[in-house]
Amino acid sequence: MKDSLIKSMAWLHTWAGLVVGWLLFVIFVGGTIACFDAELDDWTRPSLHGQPPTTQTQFDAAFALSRERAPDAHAWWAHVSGPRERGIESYTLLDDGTQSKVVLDPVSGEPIPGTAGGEFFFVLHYNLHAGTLGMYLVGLAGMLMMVALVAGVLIHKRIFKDFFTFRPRAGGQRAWLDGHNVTGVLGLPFHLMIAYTGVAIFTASYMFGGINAAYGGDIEHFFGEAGDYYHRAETGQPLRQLHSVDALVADAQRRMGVRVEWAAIEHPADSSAVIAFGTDHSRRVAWDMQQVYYDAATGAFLHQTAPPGAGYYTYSWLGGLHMAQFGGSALRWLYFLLGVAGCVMIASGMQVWVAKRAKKVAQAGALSGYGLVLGLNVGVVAGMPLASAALLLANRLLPATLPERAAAEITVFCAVWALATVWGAWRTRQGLGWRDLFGLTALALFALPWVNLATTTHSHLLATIPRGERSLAAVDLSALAFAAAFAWLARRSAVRARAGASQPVPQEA
Amino acid sequence: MLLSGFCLTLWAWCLLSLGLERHQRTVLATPWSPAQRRAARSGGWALLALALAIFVGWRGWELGPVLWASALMLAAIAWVLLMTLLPRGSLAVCAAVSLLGLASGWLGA
Repeated sequence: MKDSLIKSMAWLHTWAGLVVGWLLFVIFVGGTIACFDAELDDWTRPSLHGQPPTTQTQFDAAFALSRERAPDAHAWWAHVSGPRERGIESYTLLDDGTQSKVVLDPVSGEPIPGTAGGEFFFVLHYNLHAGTLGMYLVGLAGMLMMVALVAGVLIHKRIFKDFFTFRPRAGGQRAWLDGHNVTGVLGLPFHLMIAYTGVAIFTASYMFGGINAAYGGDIEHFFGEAGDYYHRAETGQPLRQLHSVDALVADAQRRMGVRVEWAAIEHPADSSAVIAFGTDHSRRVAWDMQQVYYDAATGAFLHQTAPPGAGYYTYSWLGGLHMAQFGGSALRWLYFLLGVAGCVMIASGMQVWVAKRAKKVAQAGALSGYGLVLGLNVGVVAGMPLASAALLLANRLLPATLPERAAAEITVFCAVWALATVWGAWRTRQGLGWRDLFGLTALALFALPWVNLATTTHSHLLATIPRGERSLAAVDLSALAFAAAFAWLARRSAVRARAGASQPVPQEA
Repeated sequence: MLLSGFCLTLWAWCLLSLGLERHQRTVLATPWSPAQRRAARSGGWALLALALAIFVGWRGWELGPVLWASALMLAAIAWVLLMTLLPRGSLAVCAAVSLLGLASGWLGA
């Protein structure tokens, strides 16, 4: 009985892991980088660096621009300039669900050049830039990750005896399995937590029975009621005048007892228009979802959300634990490094699969299922870091006046990844796929601070370190640290490739 | 405080692994008696608890345990890497990192 349980769990772990392994790797790399999404957004907007910080809100200026861009939008939404991210993000949301974004200079209120920024990785992390379908794919990957984690613990026969054991020099499958076990077991609480809370954030979409029964499938209606949000039906009459939004900030802060982080105007062209204010999530584990509402014509106070009920608070707590907005930069670094451990766990798990089948892979040849897995593995695992580094280089190298600049950065990311996958898969036949892509990634990351120095005046290390701007400097310094790590990986792959060439069975990287 | 707490968890994993015969022999030249290994394990568990107290004292009952758990996992991975790559020097590195942690604690970082 025990043997058959372990056998079936081993089967489950292998295939649950293999089916979503690459998808999970992409989600993990995206999420790990997104720990610093706001800091990376700030880094990708060099025109704002070197300016004195401002605490003055610019809601009226932002909404005046929104009126030019989308006068009868469903809603306008604007952020304040904050310590993590000084650009003012301003969104217009249309009735058909589409939205567009510009970022404004916090001092002048003028739009600045577009960039994919840290938000690119955040969106990649939760829906792969593929909308609802992507969100469901990510959810499926998260659920299978939990299955693989539980099955993985069950089949790990020496989980306590080998708790601290790592034998990188053992070679072959042993070294990869140890690496997979160490990052998996020692990081297990984090991996379980992050997979569970990640799936829980979209639970209303993944487990829709209750919402279908009680709300006719209207998820927004459910969240509106759970959060005690305020809405007014449209009257069809035009709004006579718009009250100053900036003038209401002090009152909103007094009522909420916390800093105003964003403001929104719902159906801003209609006489039913409502101004809403909300805050950030930096104080508690749970999201702080409270909002206050004012009449957009008169500025009269309309409503303040009630404290959340136990169920909704629990949901906010799980979501907050996932998003890590509450512990300052200390917690962001801890989550970032644990995320890196998760990436290593997934990548080494895929390597165990390949290494275990090294003989079969060699016999089957490049044009087989095994050959495909081998090539794609190089393309996904080594290609994505290279594409991410290329995205950051593109941010500094593309001209500031380029129209659709954010889309151009994303095109660079996709093109580099596609080329890297083809190149990596091709060179894997000679056992050099890993070496080439890791080496290129090391070069690209090493070049980043130098390109920064050559193309910007206030954003490079020689400017950010004297100004004491740790977040900006940390991006360049992290690029150098990761460049060293990838250079080490490339060298190791090259040594393995040479050792493998003298043996009949090709070694994995 | 983060570094101080992290150092405590690092020492905790160090003692817990020294409580296992295989790892004790790779780190230290002289073999320990079973009683010594038991003592190391107890010390390790005690340090884990002390680290929790430090994190809770620093950031309270709501954020403290999250920071503690995160630091705990990273310290475990760090200790395994250290013990693997530098078995005989691992304790010295631990001590150096701890001095750094104490110094940064004194400087209020």
